[in-house]
Amino acid sequence: MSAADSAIEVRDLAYRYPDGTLALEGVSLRVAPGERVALLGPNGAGKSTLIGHLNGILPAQRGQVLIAGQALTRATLAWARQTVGVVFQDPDNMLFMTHLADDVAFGPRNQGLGEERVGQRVERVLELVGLGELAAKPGLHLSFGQKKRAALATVLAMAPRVLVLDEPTSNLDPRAKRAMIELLAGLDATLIVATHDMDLAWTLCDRALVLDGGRLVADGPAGAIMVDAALMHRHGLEVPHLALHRYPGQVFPQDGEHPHRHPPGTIPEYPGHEPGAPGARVPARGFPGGDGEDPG
Amino acid sequence: MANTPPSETDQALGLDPRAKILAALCLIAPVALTPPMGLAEFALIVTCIAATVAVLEGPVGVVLLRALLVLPFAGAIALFAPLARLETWSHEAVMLVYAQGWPLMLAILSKAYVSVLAVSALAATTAPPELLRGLRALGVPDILLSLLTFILRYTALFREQIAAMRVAIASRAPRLRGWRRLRLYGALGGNLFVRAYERGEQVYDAMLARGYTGVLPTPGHLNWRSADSRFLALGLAFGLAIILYP
Repeated sequence: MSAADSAIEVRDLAYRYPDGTLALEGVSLRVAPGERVALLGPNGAGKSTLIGHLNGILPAQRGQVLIAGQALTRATLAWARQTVGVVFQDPDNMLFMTHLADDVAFGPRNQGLGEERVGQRVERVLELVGLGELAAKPGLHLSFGQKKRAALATVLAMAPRVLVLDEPTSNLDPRAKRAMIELLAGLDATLIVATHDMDLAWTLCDRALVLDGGRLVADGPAGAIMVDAALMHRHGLEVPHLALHRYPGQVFPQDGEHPHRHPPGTIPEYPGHEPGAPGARVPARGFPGGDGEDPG
Repeated sequence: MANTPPSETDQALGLDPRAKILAALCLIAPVALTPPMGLAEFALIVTCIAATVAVLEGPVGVVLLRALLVLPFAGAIALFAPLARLETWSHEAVMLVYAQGWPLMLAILSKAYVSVLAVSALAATTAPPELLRGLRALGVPDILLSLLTFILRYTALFREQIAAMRVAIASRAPRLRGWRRLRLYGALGGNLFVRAYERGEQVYDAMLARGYTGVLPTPGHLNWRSADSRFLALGLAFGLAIILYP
């Protein structure tokens, strides 16, 4: 895969915070269009710092970030932020306008779209995340699960080609978590999901990256990486419960793709559901915020 | 689904927020700049504002009470205002300036109350997004509008954080009293400041990620109609009456 073929490429990225903390060191990776990548790692591994680099919120101190083959520079920053949408962990940080519709419209308006198209996008995206009836409500008055979906809607409305999510299921109850996973599984987009939620990563992603101490320590098929118990343990992670439920008592192989991995784009059963039942395929609904035009 | 749903009040009366803002200014400026008003004039102005709030289907009682919040601040100014006329420091001189200065104190209090009452009436009868749109259309700088937007959005969150921290203190130090408690609240204040700063940074990052370039985008144009002109004319007439009243 050449740089031009990749949705995102990171080359030898390094970042040190002003207090001296080394957050990233020599991180290199490539994500192909349409791939679903789990970014795994313990607290302080550098996941959020890496995310901050993917659309230029943090400037690379060393190395380079390329979006669809274009180097991320001051000149390409605005385009990069339209192309790579980042959903941050705390939805309260993303819902800063006085009501939900304005929050969702914030990105499209910054893209310079006319009010009619902004309105269409807002309507489509809010319907998609199941918040169509709450457009006039202030973000503050939503439940936490609704806020998480609203935060996702604010980014989907910009029709990014790559969607980067930081802990999309953190602090959600099981039902809200399930709804979020179904929502994400239905998106037809390149996904990069930074998470501790191993079940989410197992369900959603084809590929897993493990970051620890600011370094990329593993990169491979999710079905191989995430069932490597020794690797997971070494880096403060664990084998997904879904994998354990499906294969109780099994010692997972240390390498190679797991033979019974769910195919991409499917949602497997959850603990409490019938173990081993095939997951229901969720049809991709296209990129929800887009209306056909090239946002770039 | 409307993209920016108007408030129920605005839907009912169809008033442009600019008309309300300008009408409020037409009232506040003459009150602030004219000589002190008498009790009857004060009562008349308050009644007129209350009636306007009632016509605009706002909460009259809440507006009247909310405006009282200014009294402690205006009272502090009013308390010391007569001392500006003091020429020599003596018990008798102080008593004299206060004996002669009470109309000045009342004037400060009444002007402050009426001014805040007008603002309170405006806020109670106009939805915050509409108010912000009106202010923007009137040319208020973006930085001030951004600040207002964030104050509106994050005050409640700030309040929630304070409540959570107070619960945490009460749970872990239920018997803490006196200066130690005060010291703890000092630390709480510092902690809140740091948290607010950090959240500010995070919100700013989230805004940048969605293409923010320094200007808060707002929906399309406001629609000025003849009802808005009539409302503004009423405000202007009221302001002129205050100025021309002997």
